[in-house]
Amino acid sequence: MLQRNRCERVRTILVIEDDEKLAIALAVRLKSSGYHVLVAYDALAGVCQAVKHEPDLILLDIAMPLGGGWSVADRTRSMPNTAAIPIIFITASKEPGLRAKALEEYAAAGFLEKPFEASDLVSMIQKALDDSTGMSSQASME
Amino acid sequence: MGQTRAHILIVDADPADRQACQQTIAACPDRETVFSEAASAEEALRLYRAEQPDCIVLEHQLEGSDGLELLKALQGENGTSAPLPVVMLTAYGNESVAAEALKLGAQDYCVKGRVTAGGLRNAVDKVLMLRKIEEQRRDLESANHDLRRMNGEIRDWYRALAHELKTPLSSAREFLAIQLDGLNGPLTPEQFKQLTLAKESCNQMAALIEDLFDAARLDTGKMTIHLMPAFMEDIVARVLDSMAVAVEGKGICLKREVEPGLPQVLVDEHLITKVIRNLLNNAVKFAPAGGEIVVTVRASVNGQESVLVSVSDTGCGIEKHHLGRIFDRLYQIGSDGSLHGIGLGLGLAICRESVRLHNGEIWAESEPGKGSTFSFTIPVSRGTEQLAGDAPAESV
Repeated sequence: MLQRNRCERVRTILVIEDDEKLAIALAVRLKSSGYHVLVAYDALAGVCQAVKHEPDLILLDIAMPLGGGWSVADRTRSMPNTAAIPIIFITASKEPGLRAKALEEYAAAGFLEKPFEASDLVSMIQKALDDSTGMSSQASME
Repeated sequence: MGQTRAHILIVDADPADRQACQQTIAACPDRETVFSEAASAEEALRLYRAEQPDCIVLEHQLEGSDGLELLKALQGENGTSAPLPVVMLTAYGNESVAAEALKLGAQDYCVKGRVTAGGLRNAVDKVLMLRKIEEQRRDLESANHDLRRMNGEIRDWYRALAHELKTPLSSAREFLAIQLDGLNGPLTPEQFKQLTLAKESCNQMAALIEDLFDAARLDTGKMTIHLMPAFMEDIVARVLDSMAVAVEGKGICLKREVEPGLPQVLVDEHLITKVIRNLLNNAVKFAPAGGEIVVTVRASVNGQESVLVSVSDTGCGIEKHHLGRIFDRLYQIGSDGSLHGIGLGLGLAICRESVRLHNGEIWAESEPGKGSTFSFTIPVSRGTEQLAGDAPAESV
């Protein structure tokens, strides 16, 4: 079943993850959950895809070549067309403070530590998209 | 004990006094002593730089200068916080020179003409001993520095290893989950069973990687704890509920004994959950099919008011000589009670550090053939008692 918003548009999720196998696995999972999925394997390609396709949500690995996840978030947040795209950070790192940095400094829609349960990811994405739709419809009403 | 060697520089304007001083010091039978002599401060400084003597016996009156001036110069040369290996010789009635010399870093002084041979030898021995201690301190400092560096490298390696293992594990686990969730079509019961086992193996590996992370963080004091008031019996109940199926699946009877009315404790629930889970996993490993595991939660007043959790099994028990080291890192006991088990040997070490972070205690009691009991306590603090008073009465 495809995941559509109120305008019946299939939601697009951009997966930016340098581990190709994990990116494929996540793409399979998200497609089966009804999303349109784009994949980028490094930070630079991720920013290009985000600008080009303006996805509904970015699933973003933190440690990556060509800039890392934080640089992707910095760049997308600095451009008007991508600034409001919700980001869910994923990481294999346990460095203290990463979660707080993601959620507070970057106002991320979520933070998941690898390995995570697919069900947690899918429900987190669903909630982030619902919140973002709610906010944009609220904004348009205002 | 073998003979020691010492190089002593005697600085005195009078050749006869230098000779007498040499003879006195050389009379020490336990030491092979080599001497250098200087009549002036300039010559003494040159010899100090060239020969780095172990001790300097320094007369105040020198040719063209005095001993205190030389001491200042030596201190400048020394350049470190290490003490100057100097015994000052002063004239009788000239204690102010002695006091000044000590202030400038000399280790001892003797009054010329009054000091006995034994007194001078003792003063020199003292300086040589201090010098030796200083050398050993420097060696230890250097060894400590190397150990810290190596520890840092190992810690970084642990972290990198854990990071590198987690990513491929994530994809393996997710591909298995995709199959198990039927996203690629239905599975036969046998396929489902086998893939479930594969996913369990992934989860097991994830737990081991978590242990590596924890060990690295505990090593470096980087483990942070987030203390919150909680009832220990609730935490125990959650762990037991999550593990009950697995435990009973092995034909082991799992019992819980909880003392009612326990106060709250301040705990990092995540850490303490891991501790209980770890102790329970060990008990399952040791308890035979048909055996019994009893988890007890009760009050303890051993030294300070605490809540005690113990996990007892009816396994093979642990030999007494293993008990003292069982919480050491990498020390493992197999399920038959012998040394060398399966796993990384980090679990109990992490338990010990986690409990210590709570100012609690952890220990093991066992008798071969009769099973083991692992217990830990988490102290009840005054603040916690207050919180306990505020908490709902019915919580057990």
